[in-house]
Order: sequence, then C-alpha cells, then structure tokens
Amino acid sequence: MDAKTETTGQPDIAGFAAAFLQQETGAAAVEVLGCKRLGGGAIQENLLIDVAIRGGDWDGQHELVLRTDSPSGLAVSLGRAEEFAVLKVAFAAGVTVPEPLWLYRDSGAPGGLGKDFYLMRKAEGSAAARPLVRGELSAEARDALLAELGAELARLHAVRPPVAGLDFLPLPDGAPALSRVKEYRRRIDAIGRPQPTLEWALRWLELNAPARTEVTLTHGDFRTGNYMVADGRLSAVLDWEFAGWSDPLEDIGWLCARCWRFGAWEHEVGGIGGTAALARGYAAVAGQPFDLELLPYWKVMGTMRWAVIALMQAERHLSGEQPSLELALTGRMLPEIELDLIQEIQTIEEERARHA
Amino acid sequence: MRNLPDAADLLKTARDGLLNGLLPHLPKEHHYTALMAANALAIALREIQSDAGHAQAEATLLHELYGSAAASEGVDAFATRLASDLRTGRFDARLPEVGSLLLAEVSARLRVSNPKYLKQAGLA
Repeated sequence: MDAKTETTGQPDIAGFAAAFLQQETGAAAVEVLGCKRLGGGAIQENLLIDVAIRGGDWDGQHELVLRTDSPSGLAVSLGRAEEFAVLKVAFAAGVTVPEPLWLYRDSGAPGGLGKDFYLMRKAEGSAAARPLVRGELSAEARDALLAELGAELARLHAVRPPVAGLDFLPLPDGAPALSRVKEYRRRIDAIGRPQPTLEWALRWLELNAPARTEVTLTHGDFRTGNYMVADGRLSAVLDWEFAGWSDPLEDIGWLCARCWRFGAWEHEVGGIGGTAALARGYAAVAGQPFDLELLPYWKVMGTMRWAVIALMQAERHLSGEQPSLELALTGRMLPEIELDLIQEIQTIEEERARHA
Repeated sequence: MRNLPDAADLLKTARDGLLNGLLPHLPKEHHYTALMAANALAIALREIQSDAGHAQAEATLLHELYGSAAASEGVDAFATRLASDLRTGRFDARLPEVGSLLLAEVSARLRVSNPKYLKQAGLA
C-alpha cells in the first residue's frame, strides 16, 4: 500500500465513514481531515482517512484505513465482512496485522453506502517489493526479516478449525493438494482453451500429492508485496481476501515460488533470502520447523496457481470484459510460468532419481 | 507489390519513437504504461519476424506423441487431445519425456514473448 498523492474524488465515502464512526464511538463529532487512495489490488480499494474525533472513547486524531470493494470488484475472493472476521482472528492469534476496528455492513436500505467496508488502524512502512529485493537491506537485516516472516506464518498456522466466526470458510474435501488440483482444472475448463503444459503439471501434482490432510488457517496470498516493512522490520501482513483452510505449506510454497522473487531468483523466499532463516523463525514459534522436504512440491503448486491467475486475467482482456494492456501482457507471461513449472518439476524428479 | 515500409519496420520505428521521443517527456506516473506499450510492440515485432521455430516445435511434439497419423489433425485439435490425454493419465508412464517435449514448445513461444527469460532460465 504505497501512498499516492491523488485524492479519491469520493468525499461521500469519507463523509459516510465519519458519520458511521460518530455512531460507533459515541463521539460528539467526527471531522475528516484528509482522505487519499492507497495503492491496492484490482479488487479492493483502500482509503487512508485522517479523522479528528471529539468526545467518546476514541477522542483524538486517528489515521485509519478504510477497505471496501472497488467499482470493478470481482466475486472470486472473500467479501469485506468475511475478511474483517479473518483479520480479527489473525490479530487475536498474534499475527502482525493492521488492527481491525469497525465493520460497516450495508443492509441495502436507502441512506446506506451500498457496499460493506471496514476500518483498521494504519500500519507504518511500505509494501513495495522492488526496493526490498533490490538490496536495500544488509544480509543480517534480510535474515531478521525472514525470521519475522516465518514467525508470522507460524502464529497464523497455529489457528486450526473449527473457529467460531469463520464457519463461512469451506474445509477442503480430503487432501488440500488434491482439492487445489480439482479447483485449477475447473478454472481452466471454465476458460475453455486447451493447456497441455498446465495439464501436464496438474497431472504431476495429482500423482505426487502429499497424503496429509492437516489443515490450518492460511493467508492465501502471503508474498513479498503483501506485507509492509518499516525500517527493515515487518510492520503488517496485508490483503487477507484469499484466506482459507488449507495445508500450511501452501502459504510457504507461494512465498517461495519463482514468480514472487521480483527478479532476484537467487533468493528463494520472496526475493529476500534463503529458507533457513524463514524456517528458523517458524520453528521458534511453532516448536518445530515446517517440512522442507515437501516445500518443492508446494512451490510447484504456487507456480501453478500463478499460471491459473494469469490465464484468468488474460481472459478478462480477451473476452472484451476489460480491455487492458496490462492484462493482455499478463497473458503473454504464460510461457514464462510454464517454463518455471516444467523446470521445477524436472528438478524434483532429477533429485529423486539421484537419491533412488 | 509490397507495402513499404513493412510491418516490422513500422513496429520498430514506432517503438523507437515511443521510447526515445515520447518517454523522456512523460510524467513519471505514465512511464509504466509507456514501457508496457513498448514491450507489446517488441513482442509483436518478434512475432512477425519469428521463423518457423514454434510451428516446428509443435509438430515435433505432435509427432513424438501421436505418430505421423496425428499430423493431419491440426494444431488446435491436437492441443485439445493432448490436454485431455494428460489429464486422464494416458501419458503417465512417459511424463518426464512429455515434459521435455513441452519444454521445447514452451521455449519456442518464449523466444517470441520474452527471450531474456529463456536466458535467465539457462536455456537460451
């Protein structure tokens, strides 16, 4: 979430939020001092709102982030009310997240905003990936950040079903890996163009799926670019719209997949560094490290996921739904992802042959 | 009679104009779009200049997996059949071999869309 200087052109949202805050906090008055859009995804809109609250429990000046659906929102991820519930569970589990404060649920009644939003505390720092991977940090700082990332994941993965308030999250049917293979095949079929290389990789993922069925709460999009760093320290894990119950290694595989290294290929974990520091941070909280032997499998699954996302994004352009140069070029990235998939699988097979 | 300058010349000239003439005058927030446009022009240029490399890689894949009879099926029908055969396990015993054949086909497409990536992956 990098601040952009533009204003939102939506004073009505800020004004609406101020009235909502006044009611929620029992304040005498709430004044909006500033409002600007923060860089977010294509699905969500994040507004930084600076408010002065007079009276009530929250008397004083506060910097809050309002998160709501953007006008071109897609119904593929969690809604805002569900995301708020996940964020509260993560916060309670000790994960470093922006503290979730208030949820506005739109009833559809006249005078409402017409969509849900929630307010959270503003987190310091920047989520920009490139400065992080381009060597702004010393080797020690990188290891310290990796250990923090590992610790965050371990705290999150300590949350196991069932959890009151999260019953809207479906449990995987059997092994999470097989459940993903099914889902990705469904998505490829929905687009309706044959994808031999992806089918080859999916078959390999099916034949080599780990049998384990242990599931935990997972972030679903835990990668460089989705956490904030301030002065080299992790300050917030963001973007919880893909959270769900899954194999915890899915989060780690996604973080370590080639597509999230931002060009720093030699640094396996999100372009930051190696798995040793990540595993150490994880073990310090979880009491045991994650299964490094299964990690290569879940990296392939992460690359597979990126392939499916790229296909879906390109399809939005191809179908005419959202003509866009960026989406069009994402479609032309598919061969890069296919190459990654083949090479990652070949490396695992070669390793296996060597030890056979 | 040919249209001159040809499409490749036009794309290359347009790209040079974009990068050297326009980009330096654009405000920073528009650089990303300009660079994307330049990339799109470069891909289109490589595509119209590409040799028969990709068609050849596809034909080889087809021949290796289905023999000469399948060559008449056409590339699209072949891709659909291969995708389905892979999913249903018909090539389970030959997955590594199929992977190598697919890698050649993917590499041929990468030579058009992003040759640098191929180099980075140690395959150029």
